[in-house]
Amino acid sequence: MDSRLLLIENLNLYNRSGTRLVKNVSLSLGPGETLGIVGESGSGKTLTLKSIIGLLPAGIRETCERREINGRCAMVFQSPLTSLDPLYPVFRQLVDVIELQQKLSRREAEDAAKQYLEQLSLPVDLAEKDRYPGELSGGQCQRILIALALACRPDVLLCDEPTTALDVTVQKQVMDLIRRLQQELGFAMIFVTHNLAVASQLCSRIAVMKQGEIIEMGPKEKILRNPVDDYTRELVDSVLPVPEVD
Amino acid sequence: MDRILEIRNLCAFYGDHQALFDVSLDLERHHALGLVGESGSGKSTLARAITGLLRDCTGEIRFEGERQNGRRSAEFCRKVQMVFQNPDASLNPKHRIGTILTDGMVVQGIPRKQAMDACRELIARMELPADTLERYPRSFSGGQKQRIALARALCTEPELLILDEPTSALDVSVQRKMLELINEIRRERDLTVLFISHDLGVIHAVCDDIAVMKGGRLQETGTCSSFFASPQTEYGRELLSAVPRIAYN
Repeated sequence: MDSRLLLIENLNLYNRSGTRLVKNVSLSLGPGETLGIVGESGSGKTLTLKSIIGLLPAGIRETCERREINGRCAMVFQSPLTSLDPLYPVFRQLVDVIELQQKLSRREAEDAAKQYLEQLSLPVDLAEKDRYPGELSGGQCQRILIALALACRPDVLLCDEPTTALDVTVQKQVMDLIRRLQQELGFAMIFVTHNLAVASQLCSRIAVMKQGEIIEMGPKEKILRNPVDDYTRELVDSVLPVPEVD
Repeated sequence: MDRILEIRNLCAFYGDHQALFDVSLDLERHHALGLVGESGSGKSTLARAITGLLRDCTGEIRFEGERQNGRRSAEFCRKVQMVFQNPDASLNPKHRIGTILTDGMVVQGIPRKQAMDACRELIARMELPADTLERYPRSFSGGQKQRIALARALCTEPELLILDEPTSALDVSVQRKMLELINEIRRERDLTVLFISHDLGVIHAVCDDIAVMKGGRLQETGTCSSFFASPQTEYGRELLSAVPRIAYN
Protein backbone atom coordinates (compact mmCIF):
# COMPACT_ATOMS: atom_id res chain seq x y z
CA MET A 1 0.00 0.00 0.00
CA ASP A 2 1.36 3.36 -1.06
CA SER A 3 1.42 5.82 1.85
CA ARG A 4 2.08 8.83 -0.34
CA LEU A 5 -0.58 11.53 -0.35
CA LEU A 6 0.42 12.91 -3.67
CA LEU A 7 2.27 11.47 -6.62
CA ILE A 8 2.75 13.22 -9.91
CA GLU A 9 4.89 11.89 -12.72
CA ASN A 10 5.86 13.83 -15.81
CA LEU A 11 3.32 16.60 -15.73
CA ASN A 12 3.33 18.74 -18.86
CA LEU A 13 1.26 21.88 -19.41
CA TYR A 14 0.80 23.66 -22.74
CA ASN A 15 -0.85 26.95 -23.64
CA ARG A 16 -3.15 27.50 -26.61
CA SER A 17 -0.33 28.05 -29.06
CA GLY A 18 1.30 24.78 -27.98
CA THR A 19 4.15 26.28 -25.98
CA ARG A 20 5.15 24.01 -23.12
CA LEU A 21 4.87 25.99 -19.87
CA VAL A 22 5.59 23.14 -17.46
CA LYS A 23 7.97 20.36 -18.50
CA ASN A 24 8.11 16.84 -17.06
CA VAL A 25 7.45 17.86 -13.49
CA SER A 26 7.41 14.95 -11.01
CA LEU A 27 6.55 15.37 -7.34
CA SER A 28 5.63 13.24 -4.40
CA LEU A 29 4.53 14.12 -0.91
CA GLY A 30 4.08 11.93 2.15
CA PRO A 31 1.87 12.65 5.18
CA GLY A 32 3.09 15.68 7.13
CA GLU A 33 5.84 16.50 4.63
CA THR A 34 6.58 20.08 3.65
CA LEU A 35 7.86 20.88 0.18
CA GLY A 36 8.86 24.36 -0.98
CA ILE A 37 8.74 25.19 -4.68
CA VAL A 38 11.02 28.13 -5.37
CA GLY A 39 11.47 29.95 -8.66
CA GLU A 40 11.27 33.32 -10.37
CA SER A 41 8.31 34.76 -12.25
CA GLY A 42 7.22 32.64 -15.17
CA SER A 43 8.95 29.49 -13.90
CA GLY A 44 5.66 27.55 -13.77
CA LYS A 45 5.39 27.10 -10.02
CA THR A 46 1.87 28.49 -9.67
CA LEU A 47 0.63 26.53 -12.72
CA THR A 48 1.97 23.33 -11.21
CA LEU A 49 0.04 24.04 -8.02
CA LYS A 50 -3.14 24.89 -9.92
CA SER A 51 -2.86 21.67 -11.90
CA ILE A 52 -2.69 19.66 -8.67
CA ILE A 53 -5.90 21.15 -7.31
CA GLY A 54 -7.62 21.21 -10.72
CA LEU A 55 -7.91 24.95 -11.16
CA LEU A 56 -6.00 25.42 -14.40
CA PRO A 57 -7.00 28.52 -16.36
CA ALA A 58 -9.03 27.96 -19.54
CA GLY A 59 -6.93 27.09 -22.55
CA ILE A 60 -4.19 25.23 -20.70
CA ARG A 61 -3.81 21.64 -21.91
CA GLU A 62 -2.24 19.09 -19.60
CA THR A 63 -0.73 15.65 -19.94
CA CYS A 64 0.42 13.58 -17.01
CA GLU A 65 1.79 10.04 -16.95
CA ARG A 66 0.70 9.28 -13.45
CA ARG A 67 -1.32 11.28 -10.98
CA GLU A 68 -2.44 9.96 -7.61
CA ILE A 69 -3.98 12.18 -4.99
CA ASN A 70 -4.90 10.20 -1.87
CA GLY A 71 -6.32 12.95 0.27
CA ARG A 72 -8.06 16.27 0.40
CA CYS A 73 -6.30 19.34 -0.99
CA ALA A 74 -7.00 22.98 -0.16
CA MET A 75 -5.30 26.07 -1.43
CA VAL A 76 -4.28 29.47 -0.02
CA PHE A 77 -3.92 32.09 -2.74
CA GLN A 78 -1.51 34.97 -3.12
CA SER A 79 -3.89 37.88 -3.12
CA PRO A 80 -6.43 37.72 -0.26
CA LEU A 81 -8.53 40.60 -1.55
CA THR A 82 -9.19 39.08 -4.95
CA SER A 83 -9.91 35.63 -3.46
CA LEU A 84 -12.68 36.80 -1.12
CA ASP A 85 -16.11 38.01 -2.17
CA PRO A 86 -15.94 41.77 -1.48
CA LEU A 87 -19.73 42.09 -1.04
CA TYR A 88 -20.24 39.31 1.49
CA PRO A 89 -19.21 39.48 5.17
CA VAL A 90 -16.06 37.46 5.83
CA PHE A 91 -17.52 35.50 8.72
CA ARG A 92 -20.42 34.32 6.57
CA GLN A 93 -17.99 33.26 3.83
CA LEU A 94 -16.19 31.14 6.41
CA VAL A 95 -19.42 29.64 7.80
CA ASP A 96 -20.59 28.79 4.26
CA VAL A 97 -17.44 26.84 3.52
CA ILE A 98 -17.53 24.98 6.83
CA GLU A 99 -21.23 24.13 6.40
CA LEU A 100 -20.58 22.75 2.92
CA GLN A 101 -17.27 21.00 3.50
CA GLN A 102 -17.82 19.56 6.96
CA LYS A 103 -21.56 18.90 6.37
CA LEU A 104 -22.65 20.65 9.57
CA SER A 105 -25.82 22.54 10.42
CA ARG A 106 -25.68 26.33 10.20
CA ARG A 107 -25.49 26.68 13.99
CA GLU A 108 -22.71 24.08 14.31
CA ALA A 109 -20.81 25.69 11.43
CA GLU A 110 -21.00 29.07 13.19
CA ASP A 111 -19.55 27.58 16.36
CA ALA A 112 -16.78 25.91 14.37
CA ALA A 113 -16.06 29.19 12.55
CA LYS A 114 -15.62 30.96 15.89
CA GLN A 115 -13.05 28.36 16.86
CA TYR A 116 -11.17 28.98 13.63
CA LEU A 117 -11.12 32.72 14.38
CA GLU A 118 -9.60 31.97 17.73
CA GLN A 119 -7.12 29.47 16.36
CA LEU A 120 -5.94 31.98 13.73
CA SER A 121 -5.74 34.88 16.21
CA LEU A 122 -8.46 36.83 14.41
CA PRO A 123 -10.75 39.23 16.31
CA VAL A 124 -13.72 37.18 17.59
CA ASP A 125 -16.10 40.09 17.07
CA LEU A 126 -15.98 39.25 13.35
CA ALA A 127 -18.69 36.76 14.30
CA GLU A 128 -20.98 39.42 15.77
CA LYS A 129 -20.52 42.32 13.39
CA ASP A 130 -20.79 42.06 9.62
CA ARG A 131 -17.33 42.97 8.38
CA TYR A 132 -16.39 42.96 4.70
CA PRO A 133 -13.00 42.03 3.20
CA GLY A 134 -12.26 45.69 2.39
CA GLU A 135 -12.57 46.56 6.08
CA LEU A 136 -9.90 44.08 7.15
CA SER A 137 -6.13 44.48 6.89
CA GLY A 138 -4.15 42.41 4.36
CA GLY A 139 -2.84 40.15 7.11
CA GLN A 140 -6.34 39.56 8.51
CA CYS A 141 -7.71 38.73 5.05
CA GLN A 142 -4.87 36.27 4.53
CA ARG A 143 -5.76 34.59 7.85
CA ILE A 144 -9.38 34.31 6.68
CA LEU A 145 -8.12 32.60 3.51
CA ILE A 146 -6.10 30.18 5.61
CA ALA A 147 -9.19 29.51 7.74
CA LEU A 148 -11.21 28.81 4.57
CA ALA A 149 -8.57 26.34 3.42
CA LEU A 150 -8.40 24.65 6.84
CA ALA A 151 -12.21 24.38 6.87
CA CYS A 152 -11.79 21.81 4.07
CA ARG A 153 -9.82 19.69 6.56
CA PRO A 154 -7.02 19.23 4.06
CA ASP A 155 -4.43 16.48 4.09
CA VAL A 156 -2.40 18.67 1.76
CA LEU A 157 -2.33 22.45 2.03
CA LEU A 158 -1.24 24.16 -1.17
CA CYS A 159 0.11 27.67 -0.56
CA ASP A 160 0.68 30.00 -3.50
CA GLU A 161 2.88 32.89 -2.31
CA PRO A 162 0.53 33.58 0.62
CA THR A 163 2.90 36.10 2.23
CA THR A 164 4.25 37.93 -0.83
CA ALA A 165 1.69 40.74 -0.73
CA LEU A 166 2.21 41.35 2.98
CA ASP A 167 4.52 43.67 4.91
CA VAL A 168 7.46 41.91 6.57
CA THR A 169 6.13 42.14 10.12
CA VAL A 170 2.77 40.73 8.98
CA GLN A 171 4.55 38.15 6.82
CA LYS A 172 6.35 36.94 9.92
CA GLN A 173 3.06 36.59 11.83
CA VAL A 174 1.47 34.61 8.99
CA MET A 175 4.55 32.38 8.62
CA ASP A 176 4.58 31.71 12.38
CA LEU A 177 0.88 30.87 12.16
CA ILE A 178 1.29 28.46 9.24
CA ARG A 179 4.19 26.74 11.02
CA ARG A 180 2.15 26.39 14.23
CA LEU A 181 -0.93 25.05 12.42
CA GLN A 182 1.17 22.61 10.42
CA GLN A 183 2.60 21.21 13.67
CA GLU A 184 -0.79 21.12 15.40
CA LEU A 185 -2.81 19.64 12.56
CA GLY A 186 -0.11 17.66 10.80
CA PHE A 187 -1.16 18.42 7.23
CA ALA A 188 1.34 18.07 4.41
CA MET A 189 2.15 21.26 2.56
CA ILE A 190 3.45 22.54 -0.75
CA PHE A 191 4.57 26.13 -0.35
CA VAL A 192 5.24 28.10 -3.52
CA THR A 193 7.37 31.23 -3.18
CA HIS A 194 10.06 33.22 -4.96
CA ASN A 195 11.73 33.83 -1.61
CA LEU A 196 14.22 31.13 -0.72
CA ALA A 197 14.50 32.37 2.87
CA VAL A 198 10.73 32.02 3.40
CA ALA A 199 10.77 28.50 1.91
CA SER A 200 13.69 27.51 4.11
CA GLN A 201 11.79 28.62 7.23
CA LEU A 202 8.72 26.52 6.46
CA CYS A 203 9.81 23.49 4.43
CA SER A 204 12.03 20.47 4.87
CA ARG A 205 12.43 19.78 1.14
CA ILE A 206 12.93 22.34 -1.61
CA ALA A 207 12.37 22.11 -5.36
CA VAL A 208 13.86 24.80 -7.61
CA MET A 209 11.93 25.58 -10.79
CA LYS A 210 13.20 27.43 -13.83
CA GLN A 211 11.41 27.88 -17.14
CA GLY A 212 8.85 25.20 -16.36
CA GLU A 213 11.26 22.55 -15.13
CA ILE A 214 12.33 21.33 -11.71
CA ILE A 215 16.07 21.69 -12.05
CA GLU A 216 16.97 20.58 -8.54
CA MET A 217 15.07 19.02 -5.66
CA GLY A 218 16.21 17.71 -2.30
CA PRO A 219 16.45 18.20 1.45
CA LYS A 220 16.62 21.90 2.28
CA GLU A 221 20.05 21.77 3.86
CA LYS A 222 21.52 20.08 0.79
CA ILE A 223 19.95 22.62 -1.61
CA LEU A 224 21.06 25.60 0.46
CA ARG A 225 24.57 24.46 1.35
CA ASN A 226 25.61 22.36 -1.63
CA PRO A 227 23.54 23.29 -4.65
CA VAL A 228 24.49 21.28 -7.74
CA ASP A 229 22.89 23.47 -10.36
CA ASP A 230 24.35 26.89 -11.23
CA TYR A 231 20.94 28.51 -11.18
CA THR A 232 20.21 27.21 -7.67
CA ARG A 233 23.54 28.65 -6.56
CA GLU A 234 22.60 31.97 -8.14
CA LEU A 235 19.28 31.97 -6.27
CA VAL A 236 20.99 31.15 -2.97
CA ASP A 237 23.51 33.96 -3.60
CA SER A 238 20.68 36.38 -4.39
CA VAL A 239 19.32 36.23 -0.86
CA LEU A 240 20.56 39.53 0.57
CA PRO A 241 22.16 39.07 3.97
CA VAL A 242 20.66 40.89 6.94
CA PRO A 243 22.47 40.72 10.29
CA GLU A 244 20.67 38.85 13.06
CA VAL A 245 19.21 40.80 15.94
CA ASP A 246 20.49 39.55 19.27
CA MET B 1 29.26 68.34 7.33
CA ASP B 2 27.95 69.14 3.87
CA ARG B 3 24.20 68.66 3.83
CA ILE B 4 22.72 68.51 0.36
CA LEU B 5 19.17 68.26 1.69
CA GLU B 6 17.62 69.50 4.90
CA ILE B 7 14.02 68.79 5.81
CA ARG B 8 12.38 70.46 8.80
CA ASN B 9 8.96 69.72 10.31
CA LEU B 10 7.53 68.52 7.03
CA CYS B 11 3.82 67.67 6.97
CA ALA B 12 2.16 66.47 3.78
CA PHE B 13 -1.50 66.12 2.89
CA TYR B 14 -3.68 64.34 0.36
CA GLY B 15 -6.84 66.40 0.70
CA ASP B 16 -8.07 65.84 4.26
CA HIS B 17 -5.67 62.99 4.86
CA GLN B 18 -2.37 63.82 6.51
CA ALA B 19 0.37 61.49 5.22
CA LEU B 20 3.47 62.96 6.88
CA PHE B 21 3.79 64.28 10.43
CA ASP B 22 6.64 66.61 11.39
CA VAL B 23 9.39 64.86 9.47
CA SER B 24 12.87 66.32 9.96
CA LEU B 25 15.72 64.68 8.11
CA ASP B 26 19.18 65.58 6.76
CA LEU B 27 20.97 64.04 3.83
CA GLU B 28 24.79 64.23 3.72
CA ARG B 29 26.38 64.85 0.33
CA HIS B 30 27.82 61.66 -1.23
CA HIS B 31 26.02 59.46 1.29
CA ALA B 32 23.34 56.91 0.50
CA LEU B 33 20.39 57.14 2.86
CA GLY B 34 17.96 54.24 3.03
CA LEU B 35 14.37 55.13 3.81
CA VAL B 36 12.64 52.03 5.10
CA GLY B 37 9.11 51.31 6.29
CA GLU B 38 6.03 49.23 5.54
CA SER B 39 3.31 50.08 3.06
CA GLY B 40 1.54 53.30 3.89
CA SER B 41 4.37 54.59 6.10
CA GLY B 42 4.91 57.68 3.93
CA LYS B 43 8.21 56.82 2.20
CA SER B 44 7.04 57.63 -1.31
CA THR B 45 5.11 60.67 -0.08
CA LEU B 46 8.35 62.04 1.34
CA ALA B 47 10.07 61.55 -2.03
CA ARG B 48 7.18 63.25 -3.80
CA ALA B 49 7.35 66.18 -1.40
CA ILE B 50 11.12 66.57 -1.89
CA THR B 51 10.86 66.57 -5.68
CA GLY B 52 7.88 68.94 -5.73
CA LEU B 53 5.52 66.36 -7.20
CA LEU B 54 3.40 66.84 -4.08
CA ARG B 55 2.89 70.51 -3.21
CA ASP B 56 0.36 70.25 -0.39
CA CYS B 57 2.99 70.46 2.35
CA THR B 58 3.95 72.58 5.32
CA GLY B 59 7.41 72.85 6.83
CA GLU B 60 10.72 73.45 5.15
CA ILE B 61 12.73 71.69 2.45
CA ARG B 62 16.19 73.08 1.64
CA PHE B 63 18.27 71.76 -1.24
CA GLU B 64 21.88 72.98 -1.21
CA GLY B 65 20.79 75.59 1.31
CA GLU B 66 18.01 77.00 -0.82
CA ARG B 67 14.45 76.80 0.34
CA GLN B 68 12.19 74.91 -2.08
CA ASN B 69 8.64 76.08 -2.51
CA GLY B 70 6.05 75.34 -5.16
CA ARG B 71 7.34 74.82 -8.68
CA ARG B 72 10.95 73.69 -8.78
CA SER B 73 13.58 75.49 -10.87
CA ALA B 74 15.13 73.94 -13.99
CA GLU B 75 18.40 73.79 -12.07
CA PHE B 76 16.73 71.75 -9.28
CA CYS B 77 15.22 69.41 -11.85
CA ARG B 78 18.62 68.80 -13.42
CA LYS B 79 20.25 68.12 -10.07
CA VAL B 80 17.54 65.93 -8.52
CA GLN B 81 16.33 62.90 -10.46
CA MET B 82 14.13 59.98 -9.58
CA VAL B 83 13.66 56.33 -10.52
CA PHE B 84 10.20 54.91 -9.84
CA GLN B 85 9.14 51.43 -8.77
CA ASN B 86 7.24 50.37 -11.85
CA PRO B 87 9.06 50.96 -15.16
CA ASP B 88 5.89 50.11 -17.11
CA ALA B 89 4.26 53.17 -15.60
CA SER B 90 7.29 55.47 -15.76
CA LEU B 91 8.45 54.83 -19.36
CA ASN B 92 6.07 56.11 -22.04
CA PRO B 93 5.10 53.03 -24.10
CA LYS B 94 4.60 55.11 -27.25
CA HIS B 95 8.06 56.69 -27.24
CA ARG B 96 11.31 55.15 -28.40
CA ILE B 97 13.94 54.80 -25.68
CA GLY B 98 16.02 57.46 -27.49
CA THR B 99 13.23 60.01 -27.03
CA ILE B 100 12.59 58.97 -23.42
CA LEU B 101 16.25 59.38 -22.53
CA THR B 102 16.95 62.62 -24.37
CA ASP B 103 13.77 64.55 -23.46
CA GLY B 104 15.17 65.51 -20.07
CA MET B 105 18.37 66.84 -21.66
CA VAL B 106 16.48 68.72 -24.38
CA VAL B 107 14.45 70.45 -21.67
CA GLN B 108 17.78 71.45 -20.13
CA GLY B 109 18.76 73.10 -23.45
CA ILE B 110 21.02 70.43 -24.94
CA PRO B 111 20.48 69.82 -28.70
CA ARG B 112 18.79 66.46 -29.40
CA LYS B 113 21.67 65.16 -31.55
CA GLN B 114 24.28 65.86 -28.91
CA ALA B 115 21.98 64.32 -26.30
CA MET B 116 21.64 61.14 -28.38
CA ASP B 117 25.42 60.74 -28.51
CA ALA B 118 25.65 61.10 -24.74
CA CYS B 119 22.90 58.49 -24.35
CA ARG B 120 24.77 55.93 -26.45
CA GLU B 121 27.60 55.96 -23.92
CA LEU B 122 25.14 55.65 -21.05
CA ILE B 123 23.39 52.70 -22.72
CA ALA B 124 26.70 50.90 -23.06
CA ARG B 125 27.50 51.57 -19.40
CA MET B 126 24.13 50.07 -18.39
CA GLU B 127 25.01 46.96 -20.42
CA LEU B 128 21.96 47.41 -22.61
CA PRO B 129 21.89 46.31 -26.28
CA ALA B 130 23.40 48.76 -28.79
CA ASP B 131 20.10 49.25 -30.64
CA THR B 132 18.25 50.20 -27.44
CA LEU B 133 17.67 53.83 -28.45
CA GLU B 134 15.68 52.81 -31.54
CA ARG B 135 13.40 50.39 -29.68
CA TYR B 136 10.21 50.77 -27.60
CA PRO B 137 9.90 49.92 -23.87
CA ARG B 138 7.73 46.83 -24.53
CA SER B 139 10.60 44.92 -26.15
CA PHE B 140 12.66 44.90 -22.95
CA SER B 141 12.54 42.68 -19.85
CA GLY B 142 11.66 44.14 -16.44
CA GLY B 143 15.29 44.35 -15.40
CA GLN B 144 16.31 46.05 -18.65
CA LYS B 145 13.44 48.52 -18.34
CA GLN B 146 14.57 49.46 -14.87
CA ARG B 147 18.13 50.01 -16.15
CA ILE B 148 16.64 52.27 -18.83
CA ALA B 149 14.79 54.17 -16.08
CA LEU B 150 18.10 54.54 -14.23
CA ALA B 151 19.80 55.77 -17.43
CA ARG B 152 16.97 58.29 -17.89
CA ALA B 153 17.57 59.62 -14.41
CA LEU B 154 21.36 59.85 -14.96
CA CYS B 155 21.03 61.72 -18.30
CA THR B 156 20.93 65.15 -16.70
CA GLU B 157 23.99 64.32 -14.55
CA PRO B 158 22.13 64.73 -11.25
CA GLU B 159 23.70 65.21 -7.84
CA LEU B 160 20.87 63.66 -5.86
CA LEU B 161 19.30 60.46 -7.10
CA ILE B 162 16.04 59.33 -5.49
CA LEU B 163 15.31 55.64 -6.02
CA ASP B 164 11.78 54.61 -5.05
CA GLU B 165 11.69 50.81 -4.67
CA PRO B 166 13.72 50.41 -7.88
CA THR B 167 14.09 46.64 -7.52
CA SER B 168 10.79 45.61 -5.91
CA ALA B 169 9.21 44.53 -9.19
CA LEU B 170 12.24 42.47 -10.22
CA ASP B 171 13.15 38.81 -9.73
CA VAL B 172 15.73 38.24 -7.00
CA SER B 173 18.64 37.34 -9.28
CA VAL B 174 17.92 40.43 -11.44
CA GLN B 175 17.59 42.52 -8.30
CA ARG B 176 21.07 41.51 -7.22
CA LYS B 177 22.62 42.69 -10.50
CA MET B 178 20.65 45.95 -10.42
CA LEU B 179 21.89 46.69 -6.89
CA GLU B 180 25.49 46.04 -7.97
CA LEU B 181 25.02 48.45 -10.88
CA ILE B 182 23.55 51.12 -8.58
CA ASN B 183 26.50 50.76 -6.23
CA GLU B 184 29.03 51.09 -9.08
CA ILE B 185 27.29 54.10 -10.66
CA ARG B 186 27.01 55.79 -7.31
CA ARG B 187 30.77 55.57 -6.71
CA GLU B 188 31.71 56.48 -10.31
CA ARG B 189 29.58 59.62 -10.23
CA ASP B 190 29.95 60.55 -6.57
CA LEU B 191 26.17 60.66 -6.22
CA THR B 192 24.06 61.33 -3.19
CA VAL B 193 21.34 58.70 -3.02
CA LEU B 194 18.00 58.53 -1.26
CA PHE B 195 17.01 54.87 -1.52
CA ILE B 196 13.43 53.97 -0.64
CA SER B 197 12.71 50.33 0.08
CA HIS B 198 10.58 48.11 2.28
CA ASP B 199 13.35 45.52 2.16
CA LEU B 200 16.07 45.83 4.81
CA GLY B 201 18.30 43.45 2.84
CA VAL B 202 18.33 45.91 -0.06
CA ILE B 203 19.07 48.87 2.24
CA HIS B 204 21.86 46.90 3.88
CA ALA B 205 23.42 46.18 0.48
CA VAL B 206 23.49 49.81 -0.68
CA CYS B 207 23.21 52.42 2.07
CA ASP B 208 25.44 54.20 4.61
CA ASP B 209 22.62 55.72 6.65
CA ILE B 210 19.07 54.69 7.42
CA ALA B 211 15.79 56.34 8.38
CA VAL B 212 12.88 54.22 9.58
CA MET B 213 9.32 55.43 9.01
CA LYS B 214 5.98 54.27 10.35
CA GLY B 215 2.54 55.79 9.95
CA GLY B 216 3.91 59.02 8.41
CA ARG B 217 6.38 59.60 11.23
CA LEU B 218 10.11 59.16 11.39
CA GLN B 219 10.90 56.51 14.00
CA GLU B 220 14.68 56.55 14.04
CA THR B 221 17.67 57.65 12.01
CA GLY B 222 21.31 56.66 12.19
CA THR B 223 24.11 54.91 10.39
CA CYS B 224 23.35 51.51 8.91
CA SER B 225 26.13 49.89 10.90
CA SER B 226 24.63 51.01 14.21
CA PHE B 227 21.04 50.24 13.16
CA PHE B 228 21.80 46.71 12.00
CA ALA B 229 23.87 46.07 15.14
CA SER B 230 21.21 47.40 17.48
CA PRO B 231 18.07 49.33 16.50
CA GLN B 232 17.17 52.17 18.84
CA THR B 233 13.39 51.84 18.75
CA GLU B 234 10.98 49.02 19.44
CA TYR B 235 9.60 49.27 15.91
CA GLY B 236 13.09 49.22 14.36
CA ARG B 237 13.82 46.05 16.28
CA GLU B 238 10.53 44.48 15.23
CA LEU B 239 11.19 45.32 11.59
CA LEU B 240 14.70 43.93 11.66
CA SER B 241 13.73 40.71 13.39
CA ALA B 242 10.84 40.13 10.95
CA VAL B 243 13.13 39.84 7.91
CA PRO B 244 13.09 36.19 6.81
CA ARG B 245 16.56 34.68 6.93
CA ILE B 246 17.72 31.40 5.47
CA ALA B 247 17.16 28.56 7.92
CA TYR B 248 19.63 25.80 7.09
CA ASN B 249 18.04 23.23 9.34
